[in-house]
Amino acid sequence: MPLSDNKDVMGIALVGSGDVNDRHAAAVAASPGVQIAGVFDLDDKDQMSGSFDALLVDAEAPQLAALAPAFERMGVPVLAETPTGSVPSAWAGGGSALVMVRPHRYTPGALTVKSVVAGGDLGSVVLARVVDLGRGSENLSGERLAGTPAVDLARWLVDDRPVSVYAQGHRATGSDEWRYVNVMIRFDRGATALCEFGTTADGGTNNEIFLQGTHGAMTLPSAVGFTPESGPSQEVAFRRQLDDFVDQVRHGRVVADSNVDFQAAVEMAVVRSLASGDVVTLDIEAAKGGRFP
Amino acid sequence: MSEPQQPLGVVLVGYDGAGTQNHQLDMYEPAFAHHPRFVIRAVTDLGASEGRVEISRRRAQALAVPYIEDPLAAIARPDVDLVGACVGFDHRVGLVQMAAAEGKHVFIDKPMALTIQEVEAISELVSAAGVLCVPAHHLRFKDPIRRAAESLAQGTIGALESVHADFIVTSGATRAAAENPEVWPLGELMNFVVYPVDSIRAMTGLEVVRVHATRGGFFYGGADDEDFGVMSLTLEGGVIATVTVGRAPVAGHLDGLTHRYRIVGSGGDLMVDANNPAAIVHGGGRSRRIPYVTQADSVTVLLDHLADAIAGDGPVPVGPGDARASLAVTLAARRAADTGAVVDL
Repeated sequence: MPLSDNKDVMGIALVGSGDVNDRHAAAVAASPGVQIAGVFDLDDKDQMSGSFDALLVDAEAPQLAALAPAFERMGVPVLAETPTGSVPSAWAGGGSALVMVRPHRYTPGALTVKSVVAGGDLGSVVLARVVDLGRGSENLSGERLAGTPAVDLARWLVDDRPVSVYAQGHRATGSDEWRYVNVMIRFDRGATALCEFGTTADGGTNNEIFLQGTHGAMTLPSAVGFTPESGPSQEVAFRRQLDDFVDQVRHGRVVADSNVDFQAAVEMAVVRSLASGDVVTLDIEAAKGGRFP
Repeated sequence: MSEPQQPLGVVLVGYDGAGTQNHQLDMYEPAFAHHPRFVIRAVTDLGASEGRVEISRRRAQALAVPYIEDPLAAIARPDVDLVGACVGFDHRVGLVQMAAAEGKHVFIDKPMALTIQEVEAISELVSAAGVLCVPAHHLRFKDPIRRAAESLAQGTIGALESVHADFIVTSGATRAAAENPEVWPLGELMNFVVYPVDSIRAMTGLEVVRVHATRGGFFYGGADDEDFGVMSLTLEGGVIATVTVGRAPVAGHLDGLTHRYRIVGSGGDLMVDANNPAAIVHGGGRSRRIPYVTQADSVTVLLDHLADAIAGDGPVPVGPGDARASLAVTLAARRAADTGAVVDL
């Protein structure tokens, strides 16, 4: 009997191997009622068979796009590592629901802020300041330059379509790479987000979410960042998102991530604005299928 | 033993302001009245409405000084050294012209003027007359901001990298309007940008060179009501600054105002809460903070410096150049917000 026919135990396949699926494997192992029903390499798309209730995918953006048709055929929800800077356009128009891995949204601080916003005490968010500084000591390059956690948290809390991006930053000493980035995002209904990410020069941490809404304001000072890099907070965040995803799958109401295009467009605009020193107006359509420079 | 200094005579010109604002009544008159180095000699008006004139007359009576109909006659009194100006914006250049012609110094409400041309006209008038014109940029003299400036100057956090300010007022335009707040009729960017920008300039000693901004009307039901703005600034030397300003009528705010700075340097951070020091009270049906000052309030400290400068015992604390710098940022922010571009100063 396929696992998926046993409603008490959900079968999940892991596609791709990397840090994210390592964390997912640990989360699955700790979650009652969920089992790993298959493990596949990214180039196994023709061999992916079996009965699964959902897929957990750890892939770069181009690989994710290439696998999209196979996933569509399988017709099961997909929880995938965030494809920074590119959009798996194969998902446009429907098919299996795509949900992106966003453990930062499942950190205790972020969940607290979101619950207040959802509760309506703040009204509509007019300003979101998200400070996520001091994680790691590496300079910002590749996908880290796009500031995914801070930018995504701000967009998630403002809950609107971004229309322009202006980024400034500081480069690392003796390097062309950026160490600190400050991004200002303007949203369609007039809200603004200020996002800071990267490292402080002295390696200290500095993290906060400050929201001003039409009816109230809130501050969340945080001793830890919003990117669960390691340790217990990482385990908790991945476990929470997996549990949330599993719950959605189990009840047949997976909420597909409709904002992937926005996220990719903002991330690419951050890089372009840093390079040009100018405001970048977002072209959501052009972002589809775009590549990180 | 040195001669005791005679207090400086002050004529208060106007209890005026856009909308319901009355900084003369709320801040300047009390500071002058209680300051040992100033004495209020008279009250007058220039271009004020009947209602505002009535306020001036009542205050003159309360202060036991004459209300003088003719502003020039009031300014020209031999026992007047300083004009405390709180008149409408249409009359500020004219008032400074009167004061300068009589060789009297000027202490003037903020923002000093609404256009760069007016600021420059005022600057030229007082410069030619050899008198001082001090705009009321008093928040740079709040204890936490002065201490931050000292700390930065001492290199406590190393090389300055970024500054992040929030200046969000949660009450009405005046104390009387606290239960029925109104947006300032000339826009809250024009009203408030001067405070955090002037404080940042005072703390860092750096000028703003680039501005990007957003603005809008979110709290008073009209998109044309500019009640909130966000700025991303570049200071000299590539230092990054972000500033939020506005009036957001949030009931029950602990301080009635969010006013803070997060300053990041190569060797550490400096967190400045300009509402501190304050007592925190939970009771009486609500929680609140009661700020207190350890030395003197910021207007009084500004007047200390003004008195020193007039006596030749200290530098000019703030001048038309400071008013120009803040106004330039305000105007650039509006232009940037409306065009979606970055504006170079």
